[in-house]
Amino acid sequence: MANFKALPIAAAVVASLAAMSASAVEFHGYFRAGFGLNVDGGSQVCYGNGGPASHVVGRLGDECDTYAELSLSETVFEKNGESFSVHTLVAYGTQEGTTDLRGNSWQSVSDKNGGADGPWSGQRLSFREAYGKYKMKSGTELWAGNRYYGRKDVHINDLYYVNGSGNGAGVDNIKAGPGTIAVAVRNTKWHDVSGKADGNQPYATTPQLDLRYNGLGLGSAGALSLIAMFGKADLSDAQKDATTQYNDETGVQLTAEHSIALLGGFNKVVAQYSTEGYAWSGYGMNNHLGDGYNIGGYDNGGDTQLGRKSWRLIDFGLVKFGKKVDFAYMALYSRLDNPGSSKKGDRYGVTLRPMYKWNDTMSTQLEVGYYSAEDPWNSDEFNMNKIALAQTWSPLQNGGFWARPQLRVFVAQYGGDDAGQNGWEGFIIDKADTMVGAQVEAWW
Amino acid sequence: MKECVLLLALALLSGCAMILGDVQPEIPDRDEALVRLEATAPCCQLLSELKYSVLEKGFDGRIFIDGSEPTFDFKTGRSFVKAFRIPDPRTGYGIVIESLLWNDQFFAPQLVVLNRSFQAVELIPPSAFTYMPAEGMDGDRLQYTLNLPPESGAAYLLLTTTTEALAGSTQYIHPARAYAKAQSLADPGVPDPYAQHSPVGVVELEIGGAYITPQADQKDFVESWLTSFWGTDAAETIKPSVADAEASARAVPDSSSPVIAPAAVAATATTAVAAAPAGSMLAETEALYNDMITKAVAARDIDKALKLVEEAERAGSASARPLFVEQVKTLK
Repeated sequence: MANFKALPIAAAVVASLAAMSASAVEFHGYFRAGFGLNVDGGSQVCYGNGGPASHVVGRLGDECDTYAELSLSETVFEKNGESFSVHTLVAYGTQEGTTDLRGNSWQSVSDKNGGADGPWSGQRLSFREAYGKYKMKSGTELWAGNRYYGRKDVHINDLYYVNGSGNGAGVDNIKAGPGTIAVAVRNTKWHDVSGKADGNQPYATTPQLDLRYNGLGLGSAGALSLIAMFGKADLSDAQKDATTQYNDETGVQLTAEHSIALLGGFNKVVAQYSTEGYAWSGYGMNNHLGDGYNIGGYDNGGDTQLGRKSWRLIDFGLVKFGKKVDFAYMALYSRLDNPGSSKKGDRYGVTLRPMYKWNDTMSTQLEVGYYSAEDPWNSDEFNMNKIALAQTWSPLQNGGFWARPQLRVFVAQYGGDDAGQNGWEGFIIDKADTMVGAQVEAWW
Repeated sequence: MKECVLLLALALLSGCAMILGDVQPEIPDRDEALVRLEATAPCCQLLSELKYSVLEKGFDGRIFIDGSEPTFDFKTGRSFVKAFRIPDPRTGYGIVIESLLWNDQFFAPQLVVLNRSFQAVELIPPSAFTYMPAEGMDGDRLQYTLNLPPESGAAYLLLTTTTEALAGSTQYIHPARAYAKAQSLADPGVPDPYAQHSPVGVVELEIGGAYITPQADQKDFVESWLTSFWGTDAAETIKPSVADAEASARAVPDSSSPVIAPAAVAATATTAVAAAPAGSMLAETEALYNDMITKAVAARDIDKALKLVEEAERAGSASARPLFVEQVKTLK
């Protein structure tokens, strides 16, 4: 009964220390690492990357880099239902691409070209998140800084079909009807198109507006998310005076996404329409739609983006068949309307990753992929296929397909026709068609 | 080169074979386990007839409840039972119990603490367990921290579940959402699934020798890790007592449940020890208290009577409580 007397005091102590107890650091992160060999000799060759082009036939056995993200966040103030938090995320990695650039243990992860090549160089050692957030009593959040914003991905292809990351500010979680509204602006950069006409402007600038309506529930029929983005190049006078070879039209990006729970997992259907500076990222399995705005110039040969439109339809998800089988899948169809070309561009692909769980830690995963691209400017079709087999180990009872950390030993067989587009004849036709290796992937 | 690859493949395959051989007990599916539970006649009528295994201090591992255990008909229904003996109760125990999400199902534990004569001294229902979402390298789990101080009289611990719990389920965070959080992705908008409660499952036990602060009150991993470098500051030193206070605060309003939060037990016990030894009171004062208790009960002011009993006991009265009980019995 002495407890009763102690209670008011205890309550007072708890209340006075509430601000302190809010100071827990949140630690999240990701990494992947490993090695691979080419059966024909030499090191592993990879056909996709998580950058401009995703892994079109699946990422299993197609990752030639070491990569890590470390994220630390802390709620620094909490009172009367309001809070302020700070968030950071740094990323490290060896260069990612077709060539395996993983070196020895002491290898630096910084880009050998430094930042001189453009706004993406040096990305393998970068400060990806540094932002602050003010959460109001109503749940509405005000944020500013540099952050990963509302990214949406297909994990098995490392495809970011929406990526609103960058330097910006916004208001999130504004309650409106059945769902919430999010508004953000961000300032994105592209290669300088003016030939260094303005000494103070190393890049071309495009501000973007990002509007989202999230969580429109349809009851048992799932839920809808709607996204609209707008961008227009904003060059300095000196840059504008020096060139007209860039896209100065307002680009629009529209995305509708439907999510529904299905067979112990989920299914998502994504429909996208992208114009002008968004069209290229929204075409085929091009990546990171929204974290940049392509105004042409530089390595794209002038204002080729002008008047472009692209459509993309993606269906992907994960389902379970009994206790033993998890099945991840992705199917995509995309079309490009390219002014000046007589034919339309068509790209489509399918990636399937079934997984069989042998026991509580070990599973076998198979990944099968096919991808085809018939672009307006190429007379021949590019196509590629893959079949990869991996033995994997992870604490499976906690999530099957999603269970990490995961250790894997893989063998991957590639085939297809490069049609002279990537200089891969020597690879996927005969020289680099079988890869073996081991990898670890973790997130927390 | 091809030979190297072959050798590598062989080495890896032999590794697979070795790991394939290391198989854990198979946990049957809920439906199958329910049938098995129904079909398994109770092993015994008395708790003393159960087979007890020793709960060693320092044990930190998994207990597999796979349906091969004996069953017992508790008041809360029939359950498979894992029975443990606490070898040296007088030294005090702190036990962290975590039931793991296993094949999308949860074993919702009920803990029964028995004294030396196999009488229940504490009952922790499934509802007292807290759902902890997967974080870091820990999966989704139901967690409870059981502290058994030397005064608790605990001699045995039963790991069981209840018929009521078996009808229920626990909603857990969809792994796709946990993945999105880890990768700073937009929330995928996928509904969180429900894990049905099963008569079987996997429980992690961590047996410590002293009071354990419930994990819900603990600092974050990183913070405690950083603290190990930077040392503790004033706030850290205050922390354990705050945890106690919070635990008591939580325990008190929940008077409808038979659960006694560990911290509350500890606090009560400590108070008892701090009080004057029973029987050390002056006869005059004792008579005075007893008179006041009698009058309070007669006036049906039980609250006041109880407070007087406690005050008298703290001052060393041995007769206050028996007198109170007697007086209450005379009430009609």
